[in-house]
Amino acid sequence: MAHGYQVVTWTPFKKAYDVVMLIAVGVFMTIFIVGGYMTWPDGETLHPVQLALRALGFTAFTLLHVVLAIGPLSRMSPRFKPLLYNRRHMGVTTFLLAFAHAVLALLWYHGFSEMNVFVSLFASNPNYGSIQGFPFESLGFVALVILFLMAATSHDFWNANLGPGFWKALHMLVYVAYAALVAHVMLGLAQNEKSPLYAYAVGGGAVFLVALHLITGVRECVRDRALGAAAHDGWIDVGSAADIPDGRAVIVVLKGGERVAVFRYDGKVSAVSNVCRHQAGPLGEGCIKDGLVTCPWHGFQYRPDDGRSPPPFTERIPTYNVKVDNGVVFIDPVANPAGTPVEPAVVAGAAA
Amino acid sequence: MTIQLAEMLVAAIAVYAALGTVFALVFVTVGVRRIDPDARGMPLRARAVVFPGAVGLWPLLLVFMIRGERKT
Ligand code: HEM
Ligand code: FES
Repeated sequence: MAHGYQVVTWTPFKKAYDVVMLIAVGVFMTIFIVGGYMTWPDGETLHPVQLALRALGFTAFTLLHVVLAIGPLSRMSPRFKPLLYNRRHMGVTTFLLAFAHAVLALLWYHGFSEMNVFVSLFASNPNYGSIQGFPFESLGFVALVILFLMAATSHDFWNANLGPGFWKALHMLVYVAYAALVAHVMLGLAQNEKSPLYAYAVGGGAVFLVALHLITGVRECVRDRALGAAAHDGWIDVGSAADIPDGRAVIVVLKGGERVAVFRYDGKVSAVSNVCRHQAGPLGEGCIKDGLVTCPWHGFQYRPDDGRSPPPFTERIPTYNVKVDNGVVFIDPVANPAGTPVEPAVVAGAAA
Repeated sequence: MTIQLAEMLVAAIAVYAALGTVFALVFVTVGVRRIDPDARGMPLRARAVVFPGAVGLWPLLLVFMIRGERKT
């Protein structure tokens, strides 16, 4: 929590995941390079630099697929949730690999030119009007700039200081980067590679990611509609208190799209904003630990009855008024200012 | 892209990055305190982690710093 800034908390758990990721990256690159050597068509010249360049590019691009798949996967199944913790390290690793790829490309394809290497990057291929011959390296550059900004702002400092809205918008640019990269890779392959195998792999990766995002998106829409509960004298019917598992929440989506997490704990019900102050994690998918709403993503905690983090932390989230009528929970859809105390509603008969 | 256009683009990026580097140095040493009170005792390593972002997003931070407020 925002209690001074630490670089990274190196819990053993995170460390283990990072080690696994780095080993996987190493293995992938090794297989790629060895495989590249063995399958290279006879008679064509292959320079080790070119192979290294490709290996770095493909490893970065593959890792980006993993990064983009973690979000939807963890919405489908909680088994993937631990990976969310390491997503930012994967993002930074993606950038570093892509950066090495770009540096090699600049040195190898532009370093011998009379021109400044960067000028050469943009100007050596003037076919911006052609699709086949399009200077795909410029697209790689755009993607690299975006990956840099994301890696550079992945620390909590930026989330806190740019504001969650701006930060989220910035990180949504990853989809722009991904689109630019699909074009970069496809056009690069069209110009440099005869075998269609790579192109199929890239296409398959894109189909996989789009399908994954569509499935989770549709599922959420359906769930939102089901939950898009009918108004009742200004109060929103959330359903029976007994249907909320103890120590857990249901997530209610209000008309404007705001999400509210309604928790049941110790025979009481409290409603708070579903959005964690840290990185907008879904609080309603978390649970009550030691009497506190605990974010499933990185463990920020809030008191359910006033939305405040326990001292010495200072985070606050909006609260919602609640009442329980005949065992049915209702919430007032108008959010209270962040940190406003609200008397929890008592579930009748819960004392027994 | 013509060579002339590419030269202008590269020059613009270079100027942006150079100004960003100078700004980022000032920012991580004294500027952070102005926008983020939590950053008072920020360890050196955390300052190093913040540095590249400050090079990239300096115009935005400059606005925050002038306003002298924390945007959350
Ligand atoms: C300034 C930025 C970049 C430059 C100058 C650049 C340059 C190049 C070049 C010259 C090739 C062709 C290599 C060859 O086949 O001999 C290539 C291919 C490739 N690049 Fe990039 N790239 C950049 C950014 C990126 C980024 C950010 C990624 C991914 C995260 C990436 C992924 C790839 C992949 C997967 C290939 C393989 C396709 C192929 O071999 O044609 N590149 N890049
Ligand atoms: S989003 Fe990180 S703890 Fe909630």
